[in-house]
Amino acid sequence: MRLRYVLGAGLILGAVIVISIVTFSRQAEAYYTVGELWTNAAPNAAPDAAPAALSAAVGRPMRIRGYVDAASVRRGDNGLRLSFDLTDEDRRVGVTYRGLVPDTFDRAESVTVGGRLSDDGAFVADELFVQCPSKYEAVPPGATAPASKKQG
Amino acid sequence: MAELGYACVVAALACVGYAAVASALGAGRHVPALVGSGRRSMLVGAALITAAVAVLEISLYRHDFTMAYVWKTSSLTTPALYLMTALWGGQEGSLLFWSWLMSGYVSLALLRPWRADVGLMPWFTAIGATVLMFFLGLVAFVANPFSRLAVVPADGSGLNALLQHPGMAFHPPMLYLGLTGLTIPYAFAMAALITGRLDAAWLTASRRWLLVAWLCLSIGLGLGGRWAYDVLGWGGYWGWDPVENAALMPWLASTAFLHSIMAEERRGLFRTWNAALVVLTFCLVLIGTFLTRAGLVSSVHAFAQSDIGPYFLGFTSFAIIGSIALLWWRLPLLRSTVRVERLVSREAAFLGNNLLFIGALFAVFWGTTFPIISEWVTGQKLTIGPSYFNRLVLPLLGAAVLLMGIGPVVAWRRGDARAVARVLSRPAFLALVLVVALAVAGIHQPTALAGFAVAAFAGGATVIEIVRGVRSRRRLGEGWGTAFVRLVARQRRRYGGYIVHLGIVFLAIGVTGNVYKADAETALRQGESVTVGDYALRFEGFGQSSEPDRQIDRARFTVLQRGRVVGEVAPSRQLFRNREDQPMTIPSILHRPLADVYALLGGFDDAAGVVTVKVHVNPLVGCVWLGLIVLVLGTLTAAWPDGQEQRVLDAELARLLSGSAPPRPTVA
Repeated sequence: MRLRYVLGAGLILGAVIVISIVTFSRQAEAYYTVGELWTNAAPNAAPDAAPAALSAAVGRPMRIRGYVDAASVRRGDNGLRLSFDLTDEDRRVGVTYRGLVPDTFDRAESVTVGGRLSDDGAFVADELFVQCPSKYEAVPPGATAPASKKQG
Repeated sequence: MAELGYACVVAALACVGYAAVASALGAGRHVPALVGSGRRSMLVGAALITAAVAVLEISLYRHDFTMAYVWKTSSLTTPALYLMTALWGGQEGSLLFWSWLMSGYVSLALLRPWRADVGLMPWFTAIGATVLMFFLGLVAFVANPFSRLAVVPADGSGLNALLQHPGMAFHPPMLYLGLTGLTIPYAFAMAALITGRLDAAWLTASRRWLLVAWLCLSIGLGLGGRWAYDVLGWGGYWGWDPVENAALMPWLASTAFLHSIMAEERRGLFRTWNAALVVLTFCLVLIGTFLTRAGLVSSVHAFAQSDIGPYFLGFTSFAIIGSIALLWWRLPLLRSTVRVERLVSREAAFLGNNLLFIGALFAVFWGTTFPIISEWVTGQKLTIGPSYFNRLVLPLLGAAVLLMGIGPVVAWRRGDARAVARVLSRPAFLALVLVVALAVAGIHQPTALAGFAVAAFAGGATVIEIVRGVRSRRRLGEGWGTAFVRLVARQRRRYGGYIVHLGIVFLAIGVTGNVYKADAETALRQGESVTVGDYALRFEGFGQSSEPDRQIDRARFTVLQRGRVVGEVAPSRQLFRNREDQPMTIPSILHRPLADVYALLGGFDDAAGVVTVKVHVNPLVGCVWLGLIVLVLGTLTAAWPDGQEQRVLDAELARLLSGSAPPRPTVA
C-alpha cells in the first residue's frame, strides 16, 4: 500500500520535473553580447562583414546586449519607434524597437534587447532593458563605479 | 558613534558564538549551568545587536555623513520615514537588520518558559546561534555598515527615489521577518534530529512561529507586488523576476510544510518528509538570499553587488550537507508506523497538496537557477521569459486550488467517496452554472473559464464548509453572527485556515483576470483619444507642479467607459532635485470595480502638444489585493495567541519533553 503511494508520488513529481526541463529548454532564449552573437552566428566573418552574414541566427528569439552608438540613435513616431546600433568588441548590430523607451535610455551604460534577427540582419526588438550605472547603489566619493548588471 | 556601533557588533558576535558553543557542550555533556549561560549569552547578544541597530538609526537621523552607509542611503532632504527605512536600504545595513530580526526571533523563543535540562531548547539555541553567527560575521568582517569615509561629503547621495514608496518601506522588513522566522522551525527540527526526540514536540514548538513567518512572508510578497504595480510602470505585479522567485520558493516550500505537518500532528504520517521539507525551506531561504545578494541574477532588485557570494555559497553548502547528514543518520528513527490507508482520505489530500507545491517549486527553481548554472558550466548565458513560469506553475497551483476545495471535506484515514461527492456536488454545480453564465456573457477563453470554474468550486466548497459549522452552532440557539464568531474563535486554526483559503480563491480570480488584459501605446494630441478594451482615454493637456524635493510633469486624461466619463488618470514624470539625471515615470491608475485602467507616460513634447502614452487595462486586479488582505486576516486568526490552546500546547510539549523515551506516534 505504502509503496504504491510513494511510486505514484514519485511518478507525478518526475513528470513535473521532466516537463519543466523540456519546457525550459524549448523556451530558453540565448543571451549574447553583440560580440558573442557574431562569434556564434558567423565565426569566420570579416570585421567589416555585412549584417546579412548573421543569417545563421535569423528568426531565433534571443536577447543581445551591447553599447548604444549614440550617433546612430534615430527616433520616430513621436518617440514610439527607435532605431540604433548596438556595438561591442568592434562588432555592430542594427536594432529597431517599437514601444515606450525607458527614461534611462539616454544615459544607459549598456542596453539589452529581446527579439529576433530579421533576414536583412537587423534586430527587431520587442523588449528593451536598460542597464544604467549605479542605479541602486551610489558610488562613494573617490571610488570607481562598480560593474553594474541590473536592468531598469 | 560608528566605533560604538561596530564594537556592539563584534561583542554580539562573541556572545552569540559563546552561546552556540556553551549550549551545544552543555546539552552534550548534560551541564545545565552551561546551557543556562549559553541562553543568557544569546539574550545579551540580541541586546547588543539591538544597540548596534539603534546606533545606525541615530547616525541616519543625525546625518552623520562620515559613515559611508549613511552617505549612501540618505541625504539632508530624505523624509523622516525613509531615514528610518534606510536601515535596510543598502547591503550592509540590511544584513545588520536581518541579523537583528533573527536574533529577535531566537530570543523570543528562548524567553518562553523552558526546562534547560531536557528537551530541544539547548540545541535549538546552538543551531539558532550558529546561523546568526554567520550573518553577524558578514556584518562584522565583510559588509560593515559602520565603516567611515576618508572624505566627509556635505550631503548624502540619498535613497533611490524609486524606493521611496510606502510599499517599498515595508516590503523588505516583512520579507525579512518571514525569511528569518523560518529559521525557528529549522532550528527546532535540527534540535529534534540531534537529540533524537523525533516525536511531534518540534512541530508543536515551532507551529506558531511557522505561521508568523509565513504570514510575514506572504505580506512581504504582496507588498512587493503592489509596489511594482504602483511604481515600476510595466503594468503588472508579478514578473517572475529571479529575485521575486527567490522569495517565492521558500513560500511554496513553507506552504507545503504548513499543510503536511497537520498529517504528522494528527496521524504521525510523513515524518521523514516533514523533516526534509523544513530543511528544504531553510536552504531555499539561504539560496534565495545568496542569489539576491551576491549579484548572481540580473533583475530590478539587484540592489546590492558585493563580494559576499563565496561566504554565502560556503555556508549554504555547509547547511545543506550538515542537515542532510543529520537526516540520514536519524532516518531509522523517522520511520512512520502508520501509513496512508486510502486514496480518499485527508492524508492523501495533503500528500497531493505537497506534490503540487513541490512540483511548482521545482519549476520555479529550475527556471531561476538553470540560467546561472548554464552560464557557469557552458559559458552560454540563457534567459527565460514569464511564459515558461505561467505555463508550468499556474496549472499546478490551479490544481492546488481545486484540491483546496476537496481536501477539507474528506475525512481522515478512510474517507467515504460517495459522501465527498455528495458534499461537493453543490460547489461543482455552482462552478458549472458560472461557466455557462460566463460563456453566455462572451467569455470564451478556455484558460479563463477553467480558472473561474476552479475558483468558484473551491470558494463554494469552503463557504459551504463554514456554513455547515455555523448551522450546527445555530442549533444551539445562537444567531448567525454569534454562531460564526464563536465557531471561528473556538477552532481558530481550522477556520482561520478556511479564511486563508477564501483569500486564495480571490487571488485565483484576480490572476485569472490576466487572461483578458489589454494594452496599447500611442501618441496623442490634445482632444484625441485611444481605446483599449472597454475603455477610452482622452488626452486633455499637460500640467506641472512642484514639491520640495521634486518637480512633476503630468499629462491629464479623461477615462471613458463605453462613452461615459468614469474618471481620470494623470501619469507623470518626476524629477528629483538631488538626482536630476534620473527622471522617474510614475504610472497613474484608475481603479474600477472590474478592472484597473493603468496609464504610463512615454514621453511628451510640450511645444508640439503631443504625448506618448501606454495604457493597460487589467481586469480583476482588485481581487488580488482583496485576496491578500483576506489571506492576512485568516492567518492572523489562525496564529492569534489563544490562552486556552497555548496551555494545551504547553502541557503537550511538557509531556513530550519530560518523557524519557520519545513515544511512538499514536494512531488517531
